[in-house]
Amino acid sequence: MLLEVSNVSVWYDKAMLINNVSMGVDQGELVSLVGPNGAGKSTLLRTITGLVAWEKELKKRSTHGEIKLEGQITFDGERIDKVPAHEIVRRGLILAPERRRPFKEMTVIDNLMVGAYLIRDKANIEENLEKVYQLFPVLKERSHQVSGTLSGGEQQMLAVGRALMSRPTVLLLDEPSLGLAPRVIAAIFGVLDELRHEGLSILLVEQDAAVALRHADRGYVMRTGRVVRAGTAGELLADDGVREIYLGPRHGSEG
Amino acid sequence: MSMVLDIVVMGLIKGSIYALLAISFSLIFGVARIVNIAHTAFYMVAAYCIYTATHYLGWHPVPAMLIAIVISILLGMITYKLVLNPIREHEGAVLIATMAIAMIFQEIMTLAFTGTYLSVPNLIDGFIEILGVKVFNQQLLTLGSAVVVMVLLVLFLFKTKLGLALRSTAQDREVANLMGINESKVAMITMGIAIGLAGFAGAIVVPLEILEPHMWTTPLVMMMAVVVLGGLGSLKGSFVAAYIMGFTEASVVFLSPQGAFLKVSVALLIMIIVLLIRPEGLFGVYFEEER
Repeated sequence: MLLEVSNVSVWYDKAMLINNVSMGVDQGELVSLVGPNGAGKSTLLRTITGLVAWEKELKKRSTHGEIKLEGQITFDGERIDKVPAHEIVRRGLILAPERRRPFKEMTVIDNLMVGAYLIRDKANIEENLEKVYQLFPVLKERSHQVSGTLSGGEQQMLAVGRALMSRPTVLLLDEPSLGLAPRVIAAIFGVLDELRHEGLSILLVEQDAAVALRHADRGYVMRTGRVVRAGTAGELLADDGVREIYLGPRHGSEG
Repeated sequence: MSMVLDIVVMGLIKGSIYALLAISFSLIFGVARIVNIAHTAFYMVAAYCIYTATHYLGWHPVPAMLIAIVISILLGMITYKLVLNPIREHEGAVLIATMAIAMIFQEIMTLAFTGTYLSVPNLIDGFIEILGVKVFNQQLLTLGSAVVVMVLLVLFLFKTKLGLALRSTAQDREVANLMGINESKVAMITMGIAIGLAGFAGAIVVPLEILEPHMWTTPLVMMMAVVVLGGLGSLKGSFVAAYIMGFTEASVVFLSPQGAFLKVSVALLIMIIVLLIRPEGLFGVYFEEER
């Protein structure tokens, strides 16, 4: 596999957020990671991109709490679990984080330029920018607008665009549909389909399993820190057990 | 009329110095999340460097100033690396450590130079008369160079790649990290630049001020007041608030009897009144809580 997570566990203080998870993404695949709130999906993405390890270092120097990390992550055959977060992008992995997190007081174009921070060649940056503008024309229209004033959908497009500016091999996306209108979600997923057809590998975290699996090749279902189901998107969509994992056995109010 | 001009000149100079100090303090706070109580102590160290170079080594003031700024930058980066970086996530420890650094500098200077009031010669002599008021060339030079450096700083922040890294780290260091910015290195560079600016402020103001080991305390209070008044984390706020405080100080000095003793209290009183009406400061920025 291109990206391979093997037996990864993560503890925040005494709480085990990720429990011995193994999963992977192959070249050109769109893999969806679904599961209810608190299943550890975001933590897994943060672990892969080195943010959990970074946070662990910070916590060592503070007085509040500690993080424990176990397991192994490889990317393109090389171990990346000891690579610092700011070096992960260079390897070709990037995350469009949860809640989009634009640099709110900076303009759209500045946000995009931060995405291309490690690219030295100006012509490459221009090329990537053209590509992002072509995928999301609204970003071009608003390029000199402060990103905090964009709508939720536009901020999500910016988050994806900013990530694409680094020309990644694997794009990790955390809840791109969160709080967006169905029409906007459709537009964003349309772009994801397009990117996948161009050969980009995508690891998508979503709460909305139906949408996420419909666009995916394969999927994993997580619950309370564990991978509880894995299979092709079709298999998972047909699986009654997956529904139950979401709604919980017998009581239908959570998730 | 002549008094108005006196107030304008002094207000502009004081304001520019406070602006330099407050903006550089805000940079460190914004990017590295460090409340640097020692900020103006570096300003004092730079002033003493110039005194040493001109008085003991017989240097021309210009190279003395440059060396003082370089020493400030290095001192700032070393302090960050050795003292602040290891305790950076612990706000209380940072506060105490920076306070300790300031006291250490103060006592070293007292040991080396005693507490005597010293002075440094002007960079340029002479004066011009504007509307019948004597304005010293040194005052104009201080004012002009402060403004030039502030313009350069803005260009650096908004037109260079490193500036982009600084701004994005200040907004969200985790996401900056994700995008390939080495947040910890950026914090150290910021510390160097900001302390360099504090050193520069010390260098250009020293011919106009009395040099003594406690010269950092009043500017520290005024600088913090400026930062709070302008709104924590807002460079624009610091800039505007610096001139408000500068002009207030100048007005009190010239308009009220015993003004020289009252200037700080009146300026701080204005800060308190503004904060009572607008607790987030003039240009307060909302800081997103990190988890």
